Amino acid sequence: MAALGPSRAVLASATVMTAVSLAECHELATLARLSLDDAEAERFAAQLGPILDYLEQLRAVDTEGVPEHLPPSRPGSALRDDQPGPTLAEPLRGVPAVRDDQVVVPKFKED
Amino acid sequence: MAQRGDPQDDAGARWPTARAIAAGVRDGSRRATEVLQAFEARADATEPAIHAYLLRARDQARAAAEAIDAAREAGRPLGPLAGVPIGLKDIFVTEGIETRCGSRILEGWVPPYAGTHARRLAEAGAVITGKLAMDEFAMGSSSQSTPYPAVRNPWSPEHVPGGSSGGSAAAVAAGSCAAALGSDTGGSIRQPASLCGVVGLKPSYGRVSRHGMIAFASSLDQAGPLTRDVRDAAVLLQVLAGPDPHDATCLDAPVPDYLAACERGAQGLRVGVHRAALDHEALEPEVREAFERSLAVLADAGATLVDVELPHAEHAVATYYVLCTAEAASNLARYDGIRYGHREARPSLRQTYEATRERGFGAEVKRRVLLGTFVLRKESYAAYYGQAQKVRSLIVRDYAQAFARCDLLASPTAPGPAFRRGERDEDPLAMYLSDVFTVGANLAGLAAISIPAGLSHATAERPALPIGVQLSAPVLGEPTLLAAAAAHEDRSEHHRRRPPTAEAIA
Amino acid sequence: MSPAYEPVIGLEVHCQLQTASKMFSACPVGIGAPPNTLVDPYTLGLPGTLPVPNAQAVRHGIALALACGCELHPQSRFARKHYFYPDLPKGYQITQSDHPYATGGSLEVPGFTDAHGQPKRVPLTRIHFEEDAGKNTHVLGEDHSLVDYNRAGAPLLEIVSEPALGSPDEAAAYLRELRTLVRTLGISQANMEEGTLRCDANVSLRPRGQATLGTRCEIKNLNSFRFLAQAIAAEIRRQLDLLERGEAVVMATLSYDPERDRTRIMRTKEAAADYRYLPEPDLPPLSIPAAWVEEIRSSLPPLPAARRARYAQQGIAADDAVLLAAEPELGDYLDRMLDAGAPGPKAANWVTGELLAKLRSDGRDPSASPVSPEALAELVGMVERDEVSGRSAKAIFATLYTEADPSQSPRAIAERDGHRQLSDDAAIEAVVREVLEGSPGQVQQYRAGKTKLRGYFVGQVMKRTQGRANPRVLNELLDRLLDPDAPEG
Repeated sequence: MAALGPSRAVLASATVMTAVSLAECHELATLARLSLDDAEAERFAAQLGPILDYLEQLRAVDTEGVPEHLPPSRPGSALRDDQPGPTLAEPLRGVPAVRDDQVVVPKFKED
Repeated sequence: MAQRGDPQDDAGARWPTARAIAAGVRDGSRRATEVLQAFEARADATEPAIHAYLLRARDQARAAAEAIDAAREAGRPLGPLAGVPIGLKDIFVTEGIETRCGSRILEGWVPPYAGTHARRLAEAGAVITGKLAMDEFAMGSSSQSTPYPAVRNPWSPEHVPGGSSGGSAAAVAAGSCAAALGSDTGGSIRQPASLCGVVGLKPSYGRVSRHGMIAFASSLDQAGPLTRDVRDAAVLLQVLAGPDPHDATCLDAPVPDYLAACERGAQGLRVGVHRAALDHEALEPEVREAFERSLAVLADAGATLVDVELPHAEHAVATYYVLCTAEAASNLARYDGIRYGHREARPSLRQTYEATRERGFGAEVKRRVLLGTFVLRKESYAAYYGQAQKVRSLIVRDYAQAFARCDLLASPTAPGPAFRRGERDEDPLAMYLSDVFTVGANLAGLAAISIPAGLSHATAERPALPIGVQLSAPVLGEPTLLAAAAAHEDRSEHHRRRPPTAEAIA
Repeated sequence: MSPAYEPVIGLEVHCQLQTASKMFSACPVGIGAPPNTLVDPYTLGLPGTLPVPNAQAVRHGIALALACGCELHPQSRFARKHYFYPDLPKGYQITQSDHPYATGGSLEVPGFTDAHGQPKRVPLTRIHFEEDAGKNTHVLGEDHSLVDYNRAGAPLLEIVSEPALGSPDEAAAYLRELRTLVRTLGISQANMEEGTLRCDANVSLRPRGQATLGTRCEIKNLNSFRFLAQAIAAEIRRQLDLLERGEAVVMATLSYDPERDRTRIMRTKEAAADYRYLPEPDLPPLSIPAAWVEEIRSSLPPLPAARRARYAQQGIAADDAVLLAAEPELGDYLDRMLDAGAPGPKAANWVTGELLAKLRSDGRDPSASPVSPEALAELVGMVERDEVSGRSAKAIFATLYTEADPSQSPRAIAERDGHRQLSDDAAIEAVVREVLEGSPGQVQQYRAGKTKLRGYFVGQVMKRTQGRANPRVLNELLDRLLDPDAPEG
């Protein structure tokens, strides 16, 4: 095995450990607001399994006491003075559906 | 004898550098409108075969070039990129010019605001030639992942140009613009630069603003130039770099003189090599040989080679794919067809969302959104996203330790030259693994550059194709990076090679 | 309330900060603007836009945290909370999740005491920054809804209390106190009608005396003080009904129907959304400079709880103290009267009575009162020293208020308009004797037991003195001179 992780050949020979079921694939799609047809879901489920297997390697890394990576902090200076700037001259230009200066969406239930 | 950096000393007017064009426009020996015409003519000739452009902004470009000529005639001062035709990857927001990020979901979106990159380039006198093709939402390494015509490699139309900034690399290689802007999340500037035989610079994270660059993975994305040579990259970086009040992650460190840094040479620089990485089985022998030759060139320029260890490098690709898919799933949530772009109208709100996203996104984007949604779910967050951010900290630490022993790191840019179109379409993992040498710089926020390092030998299966070498420097180490890259370039002819198709047209 | 169960209530309050621009962009904020006019590229979630936090919003947040005695974290973090909703332009809201800028602290609830008889303090869980969403309007009888993004991105603080409130009234009092505090600090208009103060309530019941909490339910969007108390009461009834029937309370999110005075389940916890929180990669951790904290701490105005404690020490009635603390300008007015030497309780009566009534009917702020605190203090002193009667004082106040002439002192008005009270015993006695001598029949009847005639004598004396006779002296004289045993003459 090379120093940069398992190669394609090694992965192809391994059995898929992290199976993603069709139902799970549909569930993810629902969360992400993607409606997949069954053929698509089946194809993605088959592709996600080996990818997740590959990602499994991360679990084995010893990260005891290691902090999560953060973007570098800049005290005070990453803040903006409270000065109002310009608004859009034509805020609704390019909006797919407009009525009474508002954005139209299909009626939905508040929750 | 003129120096390499001298605009006069190039392959003549047919392949002028950005510096030569700007110098000519400023001193009146060239007119911006004529420069533009020459590049447009070349684009007209190459585009039918290459498809580097998603959109050519002919009218706006003409108006910009005329304004430059008028300014020159009026005696007004001209910027460092006066009259230089520059193409922008379609990921950059251009006010008044349709911006799709290579996706159907944004079709028809004409931004009502100016992104920082387009604004700074225009202020420096650049002439924006159009929007360059890319993998949809920058997700890919081939520029084939797109609903629009796929970009071809100018060196061989049957091969990919790399990606996701494939249009940018192909346009510069084919000479249909003098320089281009790309974005790099896991290698998307450097890998296509390598595959197309041009220079691709990914600045340190935060060195260049991300305001006006459509987000793929916010903690990794960085904008940078693709150019004919290293000094052009320095000139573009000079224009792009520096703090931006519209980006809280943009660094406010002073901007040094990058062009001057190109003349520092490589004398005394310590160049680190992670030898274990070269044993990767996907690394083609020809690429390795080219890499060793580049090391020799650097040594010849006075650099010292040292071996370094990057103990967690083997986990970089896995770490990268967890983080970039999670951030992508988040960043792409806004594409819902409600406020802009294309809406698939349906009776219910949920159906509208789903139909819009189902039709608007291509397969690779959906795959990554699904994967990102998976790793961000409550039940998998700690094991995947949280763990990946910790491994990322270890990788950052590895680089810090390596840079205690050296000034720069050197590696191949990509494991091989360009692969054939369609070869990896249904094998996403193989595509992901080709990012093996480039993702580390994004994870650690390093400055990195890919420069031409030669051509592969032509065989029955493929013609001679470009090979790149990558140099990386610590955060804000662009001057050192450019010094070494320019020293390498000054001692080689690789960057002067032109793709046969473009040469024929020229 | 059932003797067997006790309610436990916690509030999540959203308070819109008073700033010129939004939380993460320079887009102007405002209430009541035409739809989609307070919109910039970030507000619409346009591709390529990035958030940059508003320093003033951060300062406001620091002020509230200091006022509540919270622990301020020098580094806090922003996170993305994901859900798809038309009023949420980016498909996520930037908020603070695991690392809020302030934790702990407490808020005093006036009028409520703890087990030790001390003013009740409700502990806070946390305060954090976030951005608001836009506004959906459902058009009656239409198949579509309309979205206005003016409010999207407005700066909010979310203030989360511990579940430590014991009744609907206590919850309402807590919210009133929070409103008072943010208004005193000048960080929010905190107006429930305008939506700059909004509230969700968590309600659970537990057997009295039990330490662990029962299953809680969350009532959303309680946007008036009245509905807040009513909704919590209705939810307590609903849960009590379940428990008494031996059924379990299921964790749920509810809304309140004021017409039926009932809470209604919107969704149960099983159907709860997975918000897929992500540390916000577009924002570095929020670093709060120590110098800011000290600067803000040293410029905090007098806080309501401290004001109430000070007034209580001066003998001012609790109701007056609550009102004066809730309207800091009124409290400031009183403080100037106290500085001018007015006695606390009487001064407070004047401020919350006569003055406030006049100001309210004119729609004026205390700072715009035509009667200065110093003038009113002088008037109160005159009453105290019996220089004028209470009734005269009201007349003098009305004159001062109407004439609005700062050069006129209450004393000068009293002189000019003849309000000076007659306290000279001999002078009053002369008048009393005159009246009694002029009404021998009435004197006889009075002495025969028709004591109701006393009012007649008072009226006659007042008439002859233009109402200026000191009532105390007058009453003493009448007692003495009408006494049947008193020597005649």
